[in-house]
Amino acid sequence: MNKLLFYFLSTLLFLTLSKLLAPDNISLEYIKTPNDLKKIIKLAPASAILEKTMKKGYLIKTYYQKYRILYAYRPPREIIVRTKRRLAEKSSKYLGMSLFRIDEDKNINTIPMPPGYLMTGNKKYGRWVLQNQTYYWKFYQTYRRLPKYFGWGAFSPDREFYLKAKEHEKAGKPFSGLNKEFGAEGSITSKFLPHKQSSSLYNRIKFGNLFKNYFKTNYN
Amino acid sequence: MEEVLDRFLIRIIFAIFVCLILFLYRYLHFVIYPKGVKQISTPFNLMSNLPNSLHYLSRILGMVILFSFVEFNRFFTLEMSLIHLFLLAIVLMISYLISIHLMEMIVLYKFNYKDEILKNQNLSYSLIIFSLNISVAFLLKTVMLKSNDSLIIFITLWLYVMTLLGLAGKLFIYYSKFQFNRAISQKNFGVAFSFLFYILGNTYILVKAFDQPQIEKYSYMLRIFFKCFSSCLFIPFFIFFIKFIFSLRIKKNELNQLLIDPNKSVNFGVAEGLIFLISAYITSWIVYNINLSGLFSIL
Repeated sequence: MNKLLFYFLSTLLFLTLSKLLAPDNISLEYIKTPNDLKKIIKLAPASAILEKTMKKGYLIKTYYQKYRILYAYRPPREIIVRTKRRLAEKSSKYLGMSLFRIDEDKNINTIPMPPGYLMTGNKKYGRWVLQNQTYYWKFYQTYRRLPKYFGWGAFSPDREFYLKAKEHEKAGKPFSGLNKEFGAEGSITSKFLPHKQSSSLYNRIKFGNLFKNYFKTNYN
Repeated sequence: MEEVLDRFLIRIIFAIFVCLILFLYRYLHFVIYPKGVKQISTPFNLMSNLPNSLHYLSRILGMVILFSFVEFNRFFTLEMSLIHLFLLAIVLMISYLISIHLMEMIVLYKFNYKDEILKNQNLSYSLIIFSLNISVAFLLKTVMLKSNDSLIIFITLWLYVMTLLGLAGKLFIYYSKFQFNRAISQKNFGVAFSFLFYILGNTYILVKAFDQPQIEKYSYMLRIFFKCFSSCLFIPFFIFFIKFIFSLRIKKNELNQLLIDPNKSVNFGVAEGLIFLISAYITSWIVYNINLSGLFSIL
């Protein structure tokens, strides 16, 4: 009985120490909600765009998210965080969208919005330009690289897009564009996201396919 | 023909060089290990004392094992290479002799060379020394390979591996049914065989633990610690199930005769040690050969 208790306590000690000290976990922050990104993003204004949601593990899964942090005044950077299953699954449909924004007054907003929403409509960064009787947002020359970082491609938000986004933000609802251009199914996201979501080799290998391929290769 | 002769001559030069190193080792052995002065001051009679021969030859074997990893490539001149090998040999010899001295102090702190080998001719004691010498040689060889020619990294890893091996040696009393010190003083072979296999199993696990890619020292040493810790958890598990699956049993009344009946004690010691060695090998497969990192799937 004493031996079993000692073995159990040793296992518990091993798991605790692994959790606290394991080199794999030391450098990764853990977030429960997008709001927890404020622990990592210290400078403002900044916006965190979800690039990837990943999981690891056979029996017990660990969930990770990759964000691209965009600042107004410095180059972007990419971070990987550990997260909860619920947040990972819930936010996977908001791929390529901004899940965390902090403005110059340090106000934080975590409603999923199209990338670049934080800087759109702010006269510090650009202005509205009239083209074919529609007002489009254009960034100043200094910030000309921002649309590339946002993954906009040829897209420029118009006034209607901006007002609709404001409306959604006030109502606390996510906004993925007038024609759902952004998000996991969005046309712009799937085309211009820097690291396009694709299924890994691990996902593509299916048990049934292995047998099919085996018979195809050997008996056809 | 000239090239063949040249290569042959270089090999002869290296053979002479190795002999010189071994000659140096003989005297360095005396400086660091003064207790063994008789082993070198007079011609060593191999037939007079078997434990002494085992003790002495195992140290030579250990040194040769340790030296066997050193590679020579003809990138530099022959003189440069010989100087490099000489310095390396000095570091290896000193660290090896200090290591075995330390291990004897940790594991066999109650015994000394003079009493056990020269007076009592205790073969059990010398078998334990033999196992420690071989283990230390294999571990130092791994540490040397992992230290990338850096003396600081080598010293750090060397101290680390000595701590782990010392700990493993000390934990033998919790694994074995033998009363370690009492059994050695009674020249019990069982305890020697049990310890021999036990320490070889531990050495195998430690060699595997150190033999992983190292990028950053802190994370490398932490990884070694966790690998060894998880091995410690799996070994008892396998010991239990190997005994259970193969129905390996010992009668309780036979267990009481371990220190009385020499045949039974050898029988038990070999079985106990081999079960540990088998468990250590399976554990190493579980802990080191199953790679669970790097498989990400995208949601």
